[in-house]
Amino acid sequence: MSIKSLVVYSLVGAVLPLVIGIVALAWAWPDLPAEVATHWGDDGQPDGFMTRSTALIVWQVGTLLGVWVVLTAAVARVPASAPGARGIKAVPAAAAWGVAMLTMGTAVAQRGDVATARSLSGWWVGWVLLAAAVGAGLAYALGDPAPDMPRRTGDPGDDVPRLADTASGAEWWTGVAPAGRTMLASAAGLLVLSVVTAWVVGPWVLLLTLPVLAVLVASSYARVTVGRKKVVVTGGLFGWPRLSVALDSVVEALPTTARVRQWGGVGLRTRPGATGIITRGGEALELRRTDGTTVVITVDDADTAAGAINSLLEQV
Amino acid sequence: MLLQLDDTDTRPLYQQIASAIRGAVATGDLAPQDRLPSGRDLAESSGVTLETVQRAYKSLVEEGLLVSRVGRGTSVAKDVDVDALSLQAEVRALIVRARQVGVDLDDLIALVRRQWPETGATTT
Repeated sequence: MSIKSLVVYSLVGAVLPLVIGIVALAWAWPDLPAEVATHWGDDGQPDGFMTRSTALIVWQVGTLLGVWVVLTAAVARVPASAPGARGIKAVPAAAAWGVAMLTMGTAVAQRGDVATARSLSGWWVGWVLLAAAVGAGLAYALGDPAPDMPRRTGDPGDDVPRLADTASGAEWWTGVAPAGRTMLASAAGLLVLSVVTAWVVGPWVLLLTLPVLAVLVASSYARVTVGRKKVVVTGGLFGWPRLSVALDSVVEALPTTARVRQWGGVGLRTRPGATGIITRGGEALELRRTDGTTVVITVDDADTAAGAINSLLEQV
Repeated sequence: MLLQLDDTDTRPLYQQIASAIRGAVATGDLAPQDRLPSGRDLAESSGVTLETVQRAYKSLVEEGLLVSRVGRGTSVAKDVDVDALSLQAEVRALIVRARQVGVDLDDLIALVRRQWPETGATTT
């Protein structure tokens, strides 16, 4: 991540929510008791307290900055050229904005007497998600666009597959990678968990679990379409997410095998110098790009996919 | 699924795309009820306009080869006659070959008439 983009991401993802949170706390300050409740027992009665200035530091500086720094460190190594990189890099801002909203809500609910201090209603999760969406939107809008890639020179290597019959030429290849066991098990597990917790804790829990479930469903299935210009990958939730790699930036394609463990899970994954769109373990397509990074996409019949791409690269 | 266009084909692009999809069904590359990529995916990946791809899909839906349903995208019809389609594709290839060697329509038909009994088929 360049210094310039780090500054932009810091301003949008950390400084702005921090300032908004502190302004909100300052506004509530005169009404806050000297000691505020920071933890509530199962019975809804406050059982943990801090002085209001400690609370300010712990909530704002500790939690918000802590979450932001950890997540930024995690996404910083994602190459800007990776498909979906701009979205991934908006995640720390989303988390920081969510924490800021949670903090503000807690502070506002504390105004008045400490004895009547209430824990936040679960439905506040909705506001937290809204704040996270605003943070993510801002970071995405102001974030790094995909960089210009070096142009490909020459044809793919001799050792990569090509279509057997190139007489008529390939125009499109399309294939799918359906969900594997890991994905189905996680989705089923989460569905059961969300129903049970919604039953026990309250229906607002669904506000938290349903978005996660939606992301799981979205990444459970990938359709890969290869044409003269791009490799387009669309997810399982009405075509979302939608990622693409320009063929201009691809040196060559080859079939490979992806292991879920090697990628640390399923979905959009990153490793140093590589991005994976992983729905299951098994057959996958590896794209070697002109900037030295690779993109791995799980797909059935990866051999033909790679052949079609290499043949297209030779045609254009 | 591989879709191939014929470089010598001079028909409008949407007809060529329709023909390529018909060809994929004929060769069994696309089976009945198989889903096709969205028009947007096909257009974005190749730089062809979305209108062209949609026009190709629409003509195949009208033909009964594809079915389009809201929320489920476009897929190959359940009751499509793969044998008839593959025969159609072979005849088409035969016509192209005949034209390459300078055989016109009447000659080709005459040739088929002559060959017909030799394969043991009866003529009416």
